[in-house]
Amino acid sequence: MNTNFIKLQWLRTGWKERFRKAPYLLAIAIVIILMILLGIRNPGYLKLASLTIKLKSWMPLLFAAFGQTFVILTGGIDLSQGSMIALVNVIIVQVIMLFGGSLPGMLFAVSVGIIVGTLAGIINGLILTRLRLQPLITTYATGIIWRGFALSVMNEPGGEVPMSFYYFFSGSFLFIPIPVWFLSFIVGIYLFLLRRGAVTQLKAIGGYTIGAFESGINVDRKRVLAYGLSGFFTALATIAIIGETISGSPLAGTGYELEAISSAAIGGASLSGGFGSPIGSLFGGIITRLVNDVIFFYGIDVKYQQLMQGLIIILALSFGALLAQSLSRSDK
Amino acid sequence: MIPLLKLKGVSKRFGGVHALRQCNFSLQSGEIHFLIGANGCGKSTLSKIIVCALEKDSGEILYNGNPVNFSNPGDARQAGIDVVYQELSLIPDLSVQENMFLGSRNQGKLGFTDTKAQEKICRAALERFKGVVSENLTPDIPVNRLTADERQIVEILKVFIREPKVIILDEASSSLHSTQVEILFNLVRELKEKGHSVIMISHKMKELFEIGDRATIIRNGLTVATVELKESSHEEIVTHMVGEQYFSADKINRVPKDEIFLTIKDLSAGKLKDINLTLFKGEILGLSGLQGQGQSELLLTLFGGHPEYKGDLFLDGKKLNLRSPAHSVRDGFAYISGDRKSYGVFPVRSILENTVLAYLKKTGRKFFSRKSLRSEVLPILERLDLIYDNLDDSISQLSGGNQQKIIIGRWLMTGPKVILMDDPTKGVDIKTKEELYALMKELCDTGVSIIWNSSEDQEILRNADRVLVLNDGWIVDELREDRLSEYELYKAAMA
Repeated sequence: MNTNFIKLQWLRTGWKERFRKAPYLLAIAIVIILMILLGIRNPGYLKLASLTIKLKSWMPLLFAAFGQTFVILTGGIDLSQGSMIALVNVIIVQVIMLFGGSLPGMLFAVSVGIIVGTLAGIINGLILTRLRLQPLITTYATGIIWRGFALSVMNEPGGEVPMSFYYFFSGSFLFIPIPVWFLSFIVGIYLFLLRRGAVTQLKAIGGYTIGAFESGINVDRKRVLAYGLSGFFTALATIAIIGETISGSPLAGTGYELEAISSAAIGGASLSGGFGSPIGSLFGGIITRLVNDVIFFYGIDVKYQQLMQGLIIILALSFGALLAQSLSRSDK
Repeated sequence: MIPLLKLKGVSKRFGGVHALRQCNFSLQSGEIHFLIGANGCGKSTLSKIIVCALEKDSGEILYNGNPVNFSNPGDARQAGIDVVYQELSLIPDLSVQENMFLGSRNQGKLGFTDTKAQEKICRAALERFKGVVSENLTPDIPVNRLTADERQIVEILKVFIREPKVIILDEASSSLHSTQVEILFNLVRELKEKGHSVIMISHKMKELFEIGDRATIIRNGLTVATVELKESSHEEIVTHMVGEQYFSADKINRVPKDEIFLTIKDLSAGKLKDINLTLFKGEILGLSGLQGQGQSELLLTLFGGHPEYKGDLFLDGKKLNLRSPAHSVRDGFAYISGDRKSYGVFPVRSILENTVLAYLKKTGRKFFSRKSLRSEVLPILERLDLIYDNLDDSISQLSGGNQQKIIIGRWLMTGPKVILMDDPTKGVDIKTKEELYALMKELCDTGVSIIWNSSEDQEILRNADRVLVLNDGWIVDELREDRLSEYELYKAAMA
């Protein structure tokens, strides 16, 4: 009996250890469960072709959640993400139309969009660090500014983008679908930052800012980097959105920031900073989207869809919270 | 010889308080230099200013003879100056290895982190402490799962692996066991042999004379003397620390009744070890020594904060069981903390509400009229000389001193027998402080006893009837009458 007990302890700490190193394990487990639920109801859902189409429609949220996580790791938050999407969206569409929908014009427009998004993020970071303001209220305010800019660039939904933009995202390169290339690209950037030690430094800032400063980290510069990354990935999210809508709208991206934040939280990130992984946020984003599909395929009345969606998110979050609690309890 | 590091006229203010005024200090290559001083004299501030973890207000820092102006601790580290911080700079969720290399330049190919090489260095460093730390301490364990001494060791190694030219150890040995301290000293000696310099902040005289070359003594933010330790003595250093002896003429020796009120026998809890003490009726018993030697813990234990304590306690001949604050309140204890924000005041709520809280609990009254409560509160506040506008005003509008008076009023309403005070005059202005001392004496004349911990040595020496000096959880000395002096206090506290 005694040996049994020890074995059980070993198993449990084993899991905890693994979770500590990869906080997204829980999110992966939930993704698998939701996939199984969907597969039971509708086997066609799990076919490669269907999943590729799904992945394409998930991309905007996945990118936004991915970018948001860098900010969350530092203990901050970026509420301007949704409006940033609108700003980048209308700018890209206007530039494309300016060049009459030519291919070089489109490439140029996309580059401009990425630069604008990244700059908007850097501006967020600079305001926060130079003026020592609270991230929550600052990014809320800059969000209003981005939306205002967007409205001055294009005051109502419209504009036209060549269909080739849409087909590009549905296509594949070297037999691998474009969305997968995109995902590999952002994961590549993450791995680069990880190997450079930047991710650890962001976590350090979120975990214990004074300690990070005393350890020689240039805290302000790294925080600006985090918001810049958030802007960069938000711009990528916008490009993916244009790939879906092939038009511009100053109202695009409304509510995206909160979906991104909750995806990051579901993916194991701690909103107080210092703990989490952008990879986890990708799975968190997938969960957010899969939940909608589960509700749809299980024929739940439209009336109850939002109700269910909220409940499932709470459930997913509380799993993570309970696990984190038991982890910190085992520390004592 | 040009000193390796020289500070000229460095000053620093926090709000209205001078933490450092005109500090001068010089460090030679290859020396172990101690910074010594009483509680809160500015030692840690000085070390933080050297690496620019804090910005100085004025003054000059010369390094290798050249003026330097670091803009953050990272710059200082690049220049070869590094600190082992008293409060530690470790990130709880990161691993030992990640912490050790946090903020350092990447050495691997193309500027990537070479985790393999880091792990090798990390393991080699940890090897030095093998046998005196648990097997648990490996490079990949998160810091929040380590014990206090292990964290301190990681903080030390984090700095030592870089072999800085100047290393500042801010009370690095205080949470270490003696075997661990021995290894730390070996590391320090090795650095010294390589010509590096070490600044050590420590309260332990034994360490000072064991390993130090010179010591600079700081008093009230001023560097008062630098001594060669070979030619100095324990007494000389303590004399520099406390300065001109303070013989207070206004000290009135009150005579407490010769009636034993509270007896504590062999009390152990947390840091406390075998505490034996008796408290007389109407006595003000002071607790002193360096900060964090168990004074606060003793008070908290008496207030039911350490239910797992060992030992016997008798109040007025009755055996006590200190299971929880509620039990302690019922037995006649009251607890007043200087940390009003955490332990005293309910901000925003009214003066009336803040005053009656403990009274309502103790009397168990469930229904009451505001009018009757007012009539009960008014005489208490009058006795405290509290100046206020309206009983319904928020307590947050009042000054720290007046807030503290209300907390005292809260407990007076419960008719306490023993009042436990943990640094109650922290952040209280001088005038109100004097009023509080007078009030304490007045209360004691009515038969209440007070156990009082203070971080201000002067006030306790002047106002307490008897002072117990604590060191590392033990009571090491009892000061009374003629021996109530700072000299005696620090002699006992730093032995």
